[in-house]
Amino acid sequence: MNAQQQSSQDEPIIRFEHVSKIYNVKGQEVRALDDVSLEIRRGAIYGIIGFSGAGKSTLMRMVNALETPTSGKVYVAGEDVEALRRRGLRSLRKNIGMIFQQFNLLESKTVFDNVAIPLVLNHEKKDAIKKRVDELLEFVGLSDRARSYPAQLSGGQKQRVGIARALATKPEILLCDEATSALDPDTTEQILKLLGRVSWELGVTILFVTHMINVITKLCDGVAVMEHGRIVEQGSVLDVFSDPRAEITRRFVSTVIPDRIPDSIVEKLKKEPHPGTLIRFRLRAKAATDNMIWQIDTGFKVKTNVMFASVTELQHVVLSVIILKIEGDPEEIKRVTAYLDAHEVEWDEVKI
Amino acid sequence: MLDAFFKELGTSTSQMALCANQTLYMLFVSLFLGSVIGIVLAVALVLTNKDGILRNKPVFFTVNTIINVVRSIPFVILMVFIMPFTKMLVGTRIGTTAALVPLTVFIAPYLARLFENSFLDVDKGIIEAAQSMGASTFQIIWHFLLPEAKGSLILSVTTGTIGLLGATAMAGAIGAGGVGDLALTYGYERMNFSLMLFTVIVLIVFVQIIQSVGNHFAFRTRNR
Ligand SMILES: Nc1ncnc2c1ncn2[C@@H]1O[C@H](COP(=O)(O)OP(=O)(O)OP(=O)(O)O)[C@@H](O)[C@H]1O
Ligand SMILES: [Mg+2]
Repeated sequence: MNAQQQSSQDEPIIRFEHVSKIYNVKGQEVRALDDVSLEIRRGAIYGIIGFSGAGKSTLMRMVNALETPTSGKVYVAGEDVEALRRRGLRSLRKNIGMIFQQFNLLESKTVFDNVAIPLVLNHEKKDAIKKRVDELLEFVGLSDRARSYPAQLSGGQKQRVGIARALATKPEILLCDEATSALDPDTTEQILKLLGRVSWELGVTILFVTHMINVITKLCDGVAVMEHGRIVEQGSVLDVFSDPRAEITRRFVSTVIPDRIPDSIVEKLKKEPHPGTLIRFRLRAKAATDNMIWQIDTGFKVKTNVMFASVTELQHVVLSVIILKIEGDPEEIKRVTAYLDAHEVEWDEVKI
Repeated sequence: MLDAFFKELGTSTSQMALCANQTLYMLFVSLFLGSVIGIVLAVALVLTNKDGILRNKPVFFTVNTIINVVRSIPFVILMVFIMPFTKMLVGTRIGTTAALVPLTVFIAPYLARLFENSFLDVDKGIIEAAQSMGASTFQIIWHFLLPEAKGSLILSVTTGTIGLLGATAMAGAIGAGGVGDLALTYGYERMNFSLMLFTVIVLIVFVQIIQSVGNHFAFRTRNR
């Protein structure tokens, strides 16, 4: 492999550079995206999470030029989307499949014809279409439903058809906008498994937009957290969720990794005359931090008491959250926290 | 036996056949022309409206206004009003063929409105999916909009046909003939109540048939 090929392999397949989008709604400016920069490497399963209105869909839709930035640039496979757009949307969009929360299948067409549509639009030959559609239905496990109509399918089956249709033209990128948000937890799990296969078996890069964190923890390797049109945090799912920095990330994380003292205990603590200092530790299973509580108890003149503890597995890594109540001289407590910092333990103080 | 029946009603089999023929001719030719024009206008409306993929205010405004203006003219007046235009197109102002012009002008914007609603009922997401596949505007219309709206379009045509049937009766005013004209001239002017009753029954049955056929095809394309 020569240097040039090497660089095109390493190059992110999707790149947002200082992208902003301003909508004008009745004379009012709505800043849907505010200086967003993000790189997604080839083959990644990348999640974008945020609450409603954060700008997730707007950002995703710029990848296939359903939306254009007010300023900034979007590159797909190294090429400027705006330039591709001028050369013709067809070639760009053929390389990018998309699935939706509401599936968006044609009710008037059979499963087979739905999956065939992108190929029909490309004027492909009948027998080539038949071969490809059979292959796709096999892949998503719906070969026996080819003659059914969408109305006869369950939500999960509809999304399988959506996925088959999105993959018909063998795209390199699959965009998923809340693709599991209309499904129950079991069905969601199945669809995520299927998307995992799309990534591993077909090497498709997946960009998944959602407001549900458990979808991200199960499927994605990278994640960006969005709020008010900005990316507030990004990185590997493990890094971002095991040590959330932004307030909004904490709110998301707390729904899957409990990290708060139960209300009844908080009430009791508030009534105590000497509440002490509450320190929250976030530990990844690492030997260095295993005997931390023992170290604090024996090495410092303080009294510790565990107020809360939770253990969660995130992407095969065990994460624990422990909240300790530490009583003692304020100077001594400062020494404890200095000790924690020296050993690079992730901690913060909890105020009640 | 039929002859005797019509004789009893004060008319003849051949006259009835002629009237029925005239009505069906007017109905189906203007329905066909009106549907074609209606579809074109409706597609223009949904593509250029504010959520449309070809959003275009001047075009939308123009088409929308034309439809509203024509729709606000009662058929009897429209018929007389566009006589010069009719003459220009078919060479005569009166007769069955001449009636096709005002009937088409009358029904096209009416159908356009109904079709517009049918198209607006198509889920926006479908259009978005079409765009995400890189479909051209024509492909979006042909492969997505029309098939998805089909059931609803058929019902719109059905409603339009029944409205059009009413207009064909009035076309008698410009000598177009037809079943409606028969009922008016014989029933009203000659006080032949039984003939009028007969034509009314025929029209009712006819409308029922149109509606049933329309429903049948609409639901066949929809609920599978
Ligand atoms: N076509 C549009 N015209 C005007 N404003 C828009 C348009 N599309 C999006 N917006 C605004 O931009 C902001 C971001 O919208 P976007 O749909 O990207 O959010 P989202 O994160 O996908 O939310 P959701 O989870 O509800 O889908 C919102 O405030 C929204 O109202
Ligand atoms: Mg969205």
